[in-house]
Amino acid sequence: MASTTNRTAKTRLQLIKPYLEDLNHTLYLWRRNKLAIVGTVIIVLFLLIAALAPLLAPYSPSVQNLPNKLQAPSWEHPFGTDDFGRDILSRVLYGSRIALQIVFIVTLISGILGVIIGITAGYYGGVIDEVLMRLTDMFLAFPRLILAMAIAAMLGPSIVNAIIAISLVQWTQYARLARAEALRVKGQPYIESIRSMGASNLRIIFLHILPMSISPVLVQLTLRMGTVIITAASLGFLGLGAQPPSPEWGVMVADGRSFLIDQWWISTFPGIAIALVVLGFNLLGDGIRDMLDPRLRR
Amino acid sequence: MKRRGDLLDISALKVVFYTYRGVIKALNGVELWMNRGERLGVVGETGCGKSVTAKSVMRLIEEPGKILSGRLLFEDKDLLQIQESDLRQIRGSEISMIFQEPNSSLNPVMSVGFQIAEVLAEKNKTKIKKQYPAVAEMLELVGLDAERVMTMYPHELSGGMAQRVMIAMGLAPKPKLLIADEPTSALDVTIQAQILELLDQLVREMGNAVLMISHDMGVVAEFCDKIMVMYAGNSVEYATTEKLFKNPRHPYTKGLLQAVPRIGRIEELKAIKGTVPDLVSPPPGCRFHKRCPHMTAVCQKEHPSFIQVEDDHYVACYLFGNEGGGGH
Amino acid sequence: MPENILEINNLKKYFELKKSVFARPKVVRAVDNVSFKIPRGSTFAVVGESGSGKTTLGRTVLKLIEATAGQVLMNGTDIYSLNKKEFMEYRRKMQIVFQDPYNSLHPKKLIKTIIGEGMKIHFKGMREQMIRKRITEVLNEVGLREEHMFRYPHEFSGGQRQRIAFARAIVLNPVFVVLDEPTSALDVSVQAMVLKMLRETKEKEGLTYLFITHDLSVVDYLADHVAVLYLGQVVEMGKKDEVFTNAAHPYTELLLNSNPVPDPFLKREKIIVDGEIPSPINPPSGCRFHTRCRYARSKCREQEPVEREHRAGHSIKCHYPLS
Repeated sequence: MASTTNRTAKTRLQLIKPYLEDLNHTLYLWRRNKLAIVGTVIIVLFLLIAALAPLLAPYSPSVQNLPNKLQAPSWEHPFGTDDFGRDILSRVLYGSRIALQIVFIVTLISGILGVIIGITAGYYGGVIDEVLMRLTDMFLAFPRLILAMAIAAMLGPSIVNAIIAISLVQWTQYARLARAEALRVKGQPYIESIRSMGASNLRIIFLHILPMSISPVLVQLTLRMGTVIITAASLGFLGLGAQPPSPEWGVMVADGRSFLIDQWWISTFPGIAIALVVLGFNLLGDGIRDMLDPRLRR
Repeated sequence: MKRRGDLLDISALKVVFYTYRGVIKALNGVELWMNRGERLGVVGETGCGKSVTAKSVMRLIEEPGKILSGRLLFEDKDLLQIQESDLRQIRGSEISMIFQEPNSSLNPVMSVGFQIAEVLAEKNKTKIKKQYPAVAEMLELVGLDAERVMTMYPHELSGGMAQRVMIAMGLAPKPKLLIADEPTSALDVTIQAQILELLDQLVREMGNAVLMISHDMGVVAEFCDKIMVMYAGNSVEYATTEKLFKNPRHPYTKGLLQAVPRIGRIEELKAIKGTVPDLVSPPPGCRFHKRCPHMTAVCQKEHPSFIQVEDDHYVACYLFGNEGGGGH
Repeated sequence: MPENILEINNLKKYFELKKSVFARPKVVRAVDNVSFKIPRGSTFAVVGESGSGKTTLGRTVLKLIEATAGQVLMNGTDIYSLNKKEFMEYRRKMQIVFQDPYNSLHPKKLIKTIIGEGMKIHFKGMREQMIRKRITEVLNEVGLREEHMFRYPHEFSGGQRQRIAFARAIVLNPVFVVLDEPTSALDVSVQAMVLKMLRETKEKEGLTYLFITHDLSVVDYLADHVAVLYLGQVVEMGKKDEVFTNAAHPYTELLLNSNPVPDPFLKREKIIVDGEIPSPINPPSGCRFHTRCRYARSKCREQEPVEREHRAGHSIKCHYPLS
């Protein structure tokens, strides 16, 4: 019995071995890329803050305290308070949860949508390819933010609709990337050989093409996370995304607009939070792209 | 050390490549020499270092590769000691090179005529324009319609034509040594026969020495005067073509000849057991010992030196009274 | 069962090259009216240079790409007349080994998965134990061991990978295997081993091979019958010994002569024919070989020769045969 479990454990280890070796190599390259390390640190902090916001925040993000409104940064309120007397630091910390939620859901929806459309177009080719790619082109023809605004305005302002709007403008590039990868992979002899065994199209797509074409899409997904946060914040700022009193960073920047001259801290701290997280995602994304560059992976 | 070839004499050449997996010991003390006007074939299997040797002669080893040590005498100069600028004088004019993939070794955005003219202008220190008549002559010499081909771009050429252009480019500066790295491996047999015939004829007229890298025993048997057999980064046997085929000494050479299929061959093919070693961690001693039927204890300790067994016949193997010790 | 395991009648495969929407599409006649029969248990070699259509022929015979016209009879049944379900059984019986051992195995899958996938497709619900047992059998057959099952393609050398590709082909008990240049990417010492393995397994498993190659010396080692292909057409065909010793078509003569011989003591007259291999988009008129034929006369330029019996079991497509 012991030997059987041993054996399955060994088999399982064998199964993930190439991925482990890949990972090892990636870590080795990561350690040599200083900016990627900086990006990783920022993003890890961001994730920790989002997870531990209730523990870290000194005040509630939503309870108003009017006597304390518009306080400048002090030891009591390191980032100051807003016009309802809410602690900005607490709101910024809680805001990370909303940002993370948006990034996560948008990435999931747009990634899945893009990969399915892209791989289908690339694998089948012909008319299917033409139709799907022209559809993609239609989405790509508009500036991304403007399209997102239009869709959000159409659906009505709310955080859910903002997520839908951003997903609908983000999937196009994943689709194009997945299509290019599928085209490359489907010409490989190992795909032809599995076809010669009599495998069905679905089997080929999901078991053989998908695993081989997913990694550049994953890189792109990381690279675009910064953009997702900016777009979400922009929608919030314009009143088309999350609504007050939600501590969404874009909404908070908008809240502080009218006080910008005298009470600069209301808009500035959420603004810095946006900039830092976007920077973190961009550095990490660039780093990952470099690490997966085949020229470096010898 | 005694001079062995009056044109080229390479000894103890070591080249390594630094990679993620570790250091690849690609060349482990290569010995190779040639006389003026001679044709030497370098044969061996994938990864034996034959192409690396060819590139080393031109000092074209690039990052992450490095020439560690050795002596590389070309006429009276050690090419490993001279300045890069002096080397450039030699590259392309005294030594030139043609490659397996002619199409990828030509610049895709320049016309064929311009590219050959450029090589000549560089050598003769003249304007490119002045070289066009010489280019036309060269193209005619390799059997191409000069007027037409001169203005063509590489992608318009077929494989055979592109290799002719490469030969024209390689021979135009009248080099003393032409290095041909698998010049016909990408071509069909009937075209290969054309190209080899052309090269044979031109080299005979112009008197260049040719260092031909090939994996095809048939090609070197037909083209070369002498053959160097390489295995896993070492020279293992050197002899005139006749001596090598008639009386191969090294167990690897013997194995190789028994494995080559040929039309009308009656005896059964014999494969060499085992596989080529990984050059990141090659076996100690003779790198062939794990696959060798005559392996003894000494083979596992030190690499045998390259010793003479008869006129124009050298071998690196303990079967032939070798004292060992690496020999350098 | 018919004597010939495979019979191919007037097989054609034309590709349309689309240059632009308005230009008339150019047609590549990759396989142009090819017929032959492969006797059960033999090795039938198809020899040709680039542009001869030999690779397309192999794919079309297996219906990996659809033929434009013609019949492929497997044990007397035209595989092109079958529906998808009926065809699955023939898919299992006819397998292929590709040229490139480095790219024909999925890089991120275990050898066990690669070889076993065919069984998962054709014998749905087969027990894992049975699958493993069969994989072990075929691995042993091609000279590998059971433990190799749990490794990845990159852990093997080119020769070993080609053995794995062959194991995958025979795991479903096929009767017919197309070998598409199976050894041309391998070094000679490895090639010798793979060729021997192919020959031995053929005897043991009672297979029939269609062997596609450009290398005549390998044909001599492995094949019983040979068909010489030039620009999509068979120009000479017959028993290998007969064709190699009494080549009647000038092209066969040229191919045999061009093959470099690893023997410096053999002095022979080299035949050098100028000119390039014409493109199959625009093949020469008359006999397609006339542009490179040193015996060509005016009739060769004007009139296409018909394929005819030259000697018993030796057919040729030439106006003026050599012998």
